[in-house]
Amino acid sequence: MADVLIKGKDICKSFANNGRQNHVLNMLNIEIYEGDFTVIMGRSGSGKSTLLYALSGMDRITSGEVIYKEEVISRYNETKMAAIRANDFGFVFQQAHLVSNLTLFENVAVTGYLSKDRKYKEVNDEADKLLEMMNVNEAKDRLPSQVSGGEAQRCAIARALINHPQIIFADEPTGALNKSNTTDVLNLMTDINERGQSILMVTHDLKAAIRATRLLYLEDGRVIGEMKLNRYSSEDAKSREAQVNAWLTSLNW
Amino acid sequence: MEYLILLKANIKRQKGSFIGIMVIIFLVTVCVCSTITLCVNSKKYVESEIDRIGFGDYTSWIYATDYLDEIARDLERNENVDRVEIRNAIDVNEYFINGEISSDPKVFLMPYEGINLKYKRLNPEMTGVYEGDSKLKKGEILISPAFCELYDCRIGDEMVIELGEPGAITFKIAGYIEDPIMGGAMMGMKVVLISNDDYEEICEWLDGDYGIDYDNISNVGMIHTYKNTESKLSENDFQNVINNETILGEYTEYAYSRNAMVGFMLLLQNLFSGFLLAFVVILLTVALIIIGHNVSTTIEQDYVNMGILKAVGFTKHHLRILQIAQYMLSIFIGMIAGISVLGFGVSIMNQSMITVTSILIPTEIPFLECLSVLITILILFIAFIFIKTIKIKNNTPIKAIRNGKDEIYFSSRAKMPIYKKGMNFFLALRQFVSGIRGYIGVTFIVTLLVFVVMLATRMNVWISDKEGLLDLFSNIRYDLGIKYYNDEDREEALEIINRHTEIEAEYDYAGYHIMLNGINYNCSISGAPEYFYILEGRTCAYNNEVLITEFMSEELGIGIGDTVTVSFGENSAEYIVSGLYQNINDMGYNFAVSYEGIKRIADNIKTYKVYILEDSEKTDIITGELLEKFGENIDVNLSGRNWQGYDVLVMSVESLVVLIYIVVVIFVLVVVALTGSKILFKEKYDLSIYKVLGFNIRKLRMTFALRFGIASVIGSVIGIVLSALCTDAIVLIIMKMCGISRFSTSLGVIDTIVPSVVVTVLFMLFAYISSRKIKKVGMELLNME
Repeated sequence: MADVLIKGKDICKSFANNGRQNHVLNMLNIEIYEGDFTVIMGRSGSGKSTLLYALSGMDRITSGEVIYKEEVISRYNETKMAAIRANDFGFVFQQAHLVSNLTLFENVAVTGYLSKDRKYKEVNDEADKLLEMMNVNEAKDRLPSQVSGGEAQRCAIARALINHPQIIFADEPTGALNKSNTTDVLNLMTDINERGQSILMVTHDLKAAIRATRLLYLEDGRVIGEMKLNRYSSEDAKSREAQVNAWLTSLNW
Repeated sequence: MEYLILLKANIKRQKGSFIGIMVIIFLVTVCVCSTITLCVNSKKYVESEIDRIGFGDYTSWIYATDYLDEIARDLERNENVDRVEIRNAIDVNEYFINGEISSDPKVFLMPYEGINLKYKRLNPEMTGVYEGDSKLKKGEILISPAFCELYDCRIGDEMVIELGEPGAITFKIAGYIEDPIMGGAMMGMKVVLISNDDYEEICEWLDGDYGIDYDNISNVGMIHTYKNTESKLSENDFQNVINNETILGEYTEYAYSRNAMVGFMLLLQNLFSGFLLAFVVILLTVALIIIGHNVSTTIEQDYVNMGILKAVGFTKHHLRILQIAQYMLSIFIGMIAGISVLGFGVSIMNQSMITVTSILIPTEIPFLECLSVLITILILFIAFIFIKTIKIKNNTPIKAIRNGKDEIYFSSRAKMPIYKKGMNFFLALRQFVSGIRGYIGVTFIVTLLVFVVMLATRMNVWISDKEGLLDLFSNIRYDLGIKYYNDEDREEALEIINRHTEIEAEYDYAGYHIMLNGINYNCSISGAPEYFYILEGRTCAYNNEVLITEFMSEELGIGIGDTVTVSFGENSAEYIVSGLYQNINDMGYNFAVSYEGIKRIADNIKTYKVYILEDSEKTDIITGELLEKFGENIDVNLSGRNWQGYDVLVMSVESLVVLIYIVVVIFVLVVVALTGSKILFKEKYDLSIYKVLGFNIRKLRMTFALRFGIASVIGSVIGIVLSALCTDAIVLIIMKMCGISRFSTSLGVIDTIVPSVVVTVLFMLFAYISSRKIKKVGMELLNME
């Protein structure tokens, strides 16, 4: 059994709407394990992205606890949380969300500079390596507005990896990509997971979901289903898809 | 109705901009209208009061009082003269106030009861006209408020005048009078009103044989000549005619025209107004830039809403009118607020200036003048906003869908590297370069603000350099002036001086009013003309040469090499203008001649022996010893160093500098608040990305503040260069009012750097404070669910 990396305990996240409380996450308990490619699925409005942001500390929870490495990080102040985001967490979103006035290389490198223990040249070399790995090395000196969506998203993954995070949080990372770019990005994520990188991904795309080693299904702010899978290989993609589809159907997806 | 709803919604959404622009317009309005009020009211009031009290078109001071009636009769016979009035006074050269000896300004004692309907007695607070029993008791005097500034004296203090053998007469200050003729603190003569009993008593002493020191106290008559309204003569020609066609010129000791006196009285107000005007022009430019920047960014922010409004049927004209209405409302409220506090502000300003101006400048706002200027400003702003809102035309509903962005909205590729060390700075530099359009306005504003601060600093540094200023302002430089009555005294005095310090130079010097080409001017007579401040040509080295100021040259149309006629009493001779010099006596209308030169037409000139001391700080000790040794047997003059108007000038400029600094600080605050919030709004998406990447709030706020720092440094450098190039020219326009026709300033490194550092630090500090909004930028912006 792998170690627990992040644990959510009795997490509640409520929004006030015209004086009424809307509970998006409702006493939710969850554990994310080291080395897993965890995928959270659910219908629109089920709270999956809210859960991702709650676990990653990007958003404050209403009650409950988020525990990372035995520390209750949900009580951390903004400065401590920023340090965790810089050093321990990586993020990939539906849009690439690159800083618009930095080149692809700079988007990756600047994130690396935040790490106090690393040298300038070491960061630059690694940024180059990652961009090459993501196959965007040729576009590295371009601004985000000058590259395709796929290139930007691959750069975003490189950026997420630059500080060797403990976990990558990915929110619908292929949601805005065409078919070819989607496959490229998913292959990259599968590849880095195989190298030991923990990933927590939110998606409603079946093709993305089958890359998981663990699937969680969310409904009305609670985890109502879980499925474990072997590591992905392109040969058994079809059977995994059928297997996951059947599981989702059983959960009224 | 739909306009009203949209207008209300816009104002509610952009209340920060709305308030910021209101504050700026409020400040602009207060500055503009204060300047107009000060200018218009001072001029009108001084002119009307001079006429009410009765100064005539030309006033001559005559010490040969026995001839006053004869001169007056002769004047009245001239066809260009309407009427003549004679006013008697007692001239006092030296007096003591609170134990301090003074000869500057000289004093004219006049009987209060005789003229009490003319001069207004002020209440003890100097806030209005005295309403109690205004009869003066014996031994009481009324002084001009300027004395308070010059000698720090108040009601109850004493003024002592040495009469000679009868001893001294002591007066107690009983109150103040408004003096619109000689009250200006920088003027070298003042009226002091005394009781009729005292006046008659002093006159009896002067008329009798009591051993009076006539060098210190004597009778004087003022002849006020009124020009015939039908006379077509210009002011100069009128003076020329009455001096040459009547016996007036032969007896006149010194004389001033009405317009010259108005000029003297308005000197400080004009100086203030000049600086305020220059400041107002800069403020207006800054206000235009801020509003322009605000209009552009607001339109960018509102692209979506505007696109939607266009989609539902609003035209570009509707939307432009809406924008203009929104800004106009803000500007209008700012103006109304400015006008509403103006009365209060002007009243405080006038009150604080009374000890300098000696007049209660009316606080009524000249509405017509202010309104015309404000309407002009309003039209300027409307036109400017109309031009700036042209962007609305280019917005289409489709563009709105793209959030107002063009297809590639970051086309510039800034290649400045980003390093790990000093990353905050390099990121700030990148953000500055990429968003340069947003910062050009800020940079330009900094340039103007630094320019105005440097202008003020240069003025302050220049004014604070008393030695340099004295060289420039005073007709001739000396530390000590002594009028000896016999040669033995001189020998002994020199011994005393030499015991304390070496004497660099000793020469004869005197100041007289002498006629040049028929007009009475102040004349500096010097035994060492090489000490005059020459602007062009050379000094009056030979006895047939004179120096004139540039103002005289312009007024009389004469220059170097021209011949002029100089008359003293009944004698006159021709002199050649050998050069132009600088001297602020009588606001620059004066000339100079060597001691040998004046001897051609006057052999009874009483001069001071003046000394330039090697150690000028010993002057006070030497003066004390001289007075102790010789008492009244010598006459000591320190006006070569102790220029009374200097402190007033310094105080005035310092107040102005403080005022400028305050307004600049407020402007920096508003500029940062307005532009900063717009930039933050524009960049909130990038900011949330940085937050997700692990940048903490302090780091993000620091890069934000650094961007303003970069803009400030660039603006400061341009501002410093501009100020080095233009300050002297601008200040010279204003200083011409004082009689300075040429001057130059230079600033030390510290004085150059400090103001720009202050502005830069203020910008960064306010930017850091205003960036607290970054805390509220949430990462949920990146959540597309």
